[in-house]
Amino acid sequence: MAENEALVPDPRREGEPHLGVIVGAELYGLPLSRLQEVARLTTMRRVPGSAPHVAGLVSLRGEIMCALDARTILGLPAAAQESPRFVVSLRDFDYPIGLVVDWVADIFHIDPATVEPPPSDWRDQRKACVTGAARVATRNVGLLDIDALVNR
Amino acid sequence: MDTSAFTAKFVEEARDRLKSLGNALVRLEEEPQSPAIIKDIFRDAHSLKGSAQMLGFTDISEIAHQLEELFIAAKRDASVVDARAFDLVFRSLDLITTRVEELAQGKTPPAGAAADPGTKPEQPARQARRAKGGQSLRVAVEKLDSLSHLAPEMVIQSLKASERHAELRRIEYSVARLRDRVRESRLAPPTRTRIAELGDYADSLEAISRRMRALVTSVSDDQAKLTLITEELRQHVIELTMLPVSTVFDTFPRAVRDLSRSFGKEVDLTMTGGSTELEKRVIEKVADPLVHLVRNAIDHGLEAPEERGKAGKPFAGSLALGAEQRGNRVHITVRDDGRGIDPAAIRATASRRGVATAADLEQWSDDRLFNLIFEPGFTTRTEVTDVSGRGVGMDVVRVAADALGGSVRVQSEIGRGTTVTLDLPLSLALVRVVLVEANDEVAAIPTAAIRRILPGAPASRAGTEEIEGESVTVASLSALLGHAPRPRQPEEASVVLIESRGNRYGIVVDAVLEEQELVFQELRGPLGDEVAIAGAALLGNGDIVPILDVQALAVRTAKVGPASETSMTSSQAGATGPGRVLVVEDSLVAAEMHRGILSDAGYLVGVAHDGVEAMELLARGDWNLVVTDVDMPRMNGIDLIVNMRLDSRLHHTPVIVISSRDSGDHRKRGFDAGADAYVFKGEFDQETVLKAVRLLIAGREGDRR
Repeated sequence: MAENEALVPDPRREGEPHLGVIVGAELYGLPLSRLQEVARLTTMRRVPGSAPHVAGLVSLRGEIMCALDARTILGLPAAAQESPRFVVSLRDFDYPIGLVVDWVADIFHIDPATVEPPPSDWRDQRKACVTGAARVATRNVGLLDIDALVNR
Repeated sequence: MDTSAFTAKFVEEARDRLKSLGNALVRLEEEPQSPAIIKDIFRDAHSLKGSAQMLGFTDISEIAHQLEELFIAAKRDASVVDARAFDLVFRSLDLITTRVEELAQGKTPPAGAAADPGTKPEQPARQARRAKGGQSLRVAVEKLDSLSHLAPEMVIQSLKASERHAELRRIEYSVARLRDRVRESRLAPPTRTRIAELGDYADSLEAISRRMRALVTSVSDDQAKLTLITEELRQHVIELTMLPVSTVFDTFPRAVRDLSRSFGKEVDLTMTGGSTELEKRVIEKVADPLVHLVRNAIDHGLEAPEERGKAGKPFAGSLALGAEQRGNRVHITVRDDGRGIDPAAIRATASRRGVATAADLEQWSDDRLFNLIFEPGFTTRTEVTDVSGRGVGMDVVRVAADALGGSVRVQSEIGRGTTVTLDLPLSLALVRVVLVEANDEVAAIPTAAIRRILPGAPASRAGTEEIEGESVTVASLSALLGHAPRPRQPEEASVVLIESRGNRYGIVVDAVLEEQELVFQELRGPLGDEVAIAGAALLGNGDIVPILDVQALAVRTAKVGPASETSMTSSQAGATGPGRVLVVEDSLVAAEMHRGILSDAGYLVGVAHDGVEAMELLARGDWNLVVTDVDMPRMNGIDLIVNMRLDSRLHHTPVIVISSRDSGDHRKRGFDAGADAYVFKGEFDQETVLKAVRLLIAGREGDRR
């Protein structure tokens, strides 16, 4: 998906629209209803002494916010410095907050009836951050629990 | 001379010209390269400019002049008038049309004499409807007028940018043509004529570089002017949201009357400085703390009439509310002539509550002790009254002051009274900071908390420094922020001496960059408690800079302590250059601009923010020249010159006044006071200013010899 593209679900499709994001080599889904904006991560200011799951400060449209690091939260090793990344700003919190992911994939629709518990072979951290798993094409997608991510 | 008859004529002519200009533009859009139409437009703009100039309608003539310039460029290269330029031209015509119609209605230039607010009573129905649409703000008409006056100036700047663009394109074309010719001649065998052509190329190149130089100068002037306009725009926008302190003060006469009755006290209330303006959001947040302070003063501070009588004081206690602007801050004071605060009582309470040992408390200064009354739950009163004395209230004051980026201070004398001062920023969003660098990262320290900056101060191994005869704990910023130890040591470091709530400490930074005014943004969310950051701001280049929390850093400095890893060398003696120039300017942006222009030209530049600071700097150092603004807080530019001329050492130091006021009267006042040159901001041109600086310094050196 191109950066800053409007997050518009396809009304003809069934199920709840999710934005696919890639963290490490894993594919996750974020419910569109909780997302504000997606942007390419340009400048980020690291904050020494901040909680480990905080990536740093980012600015979206002039608003400075704290951005969480999806890799750390999901128990994956830190990304290489140079790799391009994206920041997704989340809505419905008392303060502006973002989530740093490696890449942004397509929007897909998940029928709630098809959501299953996360596979038992997933890492504990991975299991703790999802509400469940669903199949998209051939891949098993973890549906991220946004509140659990932020309020951990 | 009565120009009304001429004005009517002008209006008539201008309407015709505008109509024909409008038509011609529409035709040009259909037939973009037509030289005939471009010529028509040029002629109309030119005539319009001439007539407007004659009648002194400078705003119209200035816009028409820029239009004329644009179409002179278009005569040579029609592609200059692209879609963007079209928009601009139409907008310019709209502006002129508005002005002409104002003239038709008998308004005189400048358009400042807008509608008298008194003649247009708001209709209640309309007001109600508007209130539904969200928050509204009442704004004085004059404030809006000064804002709207900037519109033509901005259009003029945009037109100029189009011209520069056109010139750049022409230069680009010349360069391309020259390149092609050189290429051709390289392919051909070298003959005598070919070699002779080299001379031609050199001439062409010379012409091109001349034009480039001229373009660089004009672009740099444009930039200077744009900076001034932007700064003015910013100031005006801030002013729009400013309200007088009286909005809060006016509620007090009644409240004080009620409170004094319920406490059985007699109170004389006086209020000063109610017209001092503060940003609306600051005013709103300061109202509650003020109520607490007033209640406290009446309940705790002022004695009952009989007690006052015994002490030989007038029966009625005096309570004074005051507001005063100091630079970009406002001091609000609540002063009573009551019994004062007894440091011994605070010591006793503090010792009982285990704040510190009695022996330690003996060593505390009164300032530090008084600060304790802002701690939650701290009260020296034994009985609890209905309204105050439960130890709630004073901590609310400090919390509110902190949230606003301000501070609160108590001065008291037993038997004489207590003064509480709230030191608040004029506006909430802007914070003046000094940018520093540590570990190759930039951080911002609020200027309000900085007492001094000591460049290259000598290091002390113990982590304490003797600064101003006081020993102060010093720690490096990298260590305070928890950076990894650096691989290399900076060659030179500076110590920023911070003062916050009576604590003094020093922070060692690798470099002190500059002072800036930034838009403060609060940071919330899961950052953690370990970050000593009060907020963040965006720099001009889009970088995020954290604004340090000087309170949290005070605590850490005490823990981290010695900056042993840092070695400092003593600062170098003042380098020599063409001269030392002191810029006196309260607007940071303008000061920064002047500083930039002068230091680019090789001058060593110092900056003072008002006349008082300038006199201090002048007394301490040797300055070759002073560049000063006129309107400044504390001591204005004219008074500064008068004071300098009274001082035998500064009597001969040349002064250039740069002012936004351009009347003969203002110029005269400047020269009468002893200024050597007077530059109008609207005509600011860096070449002229630099020339004046050069000549004045050279002249004065000549005198000395």
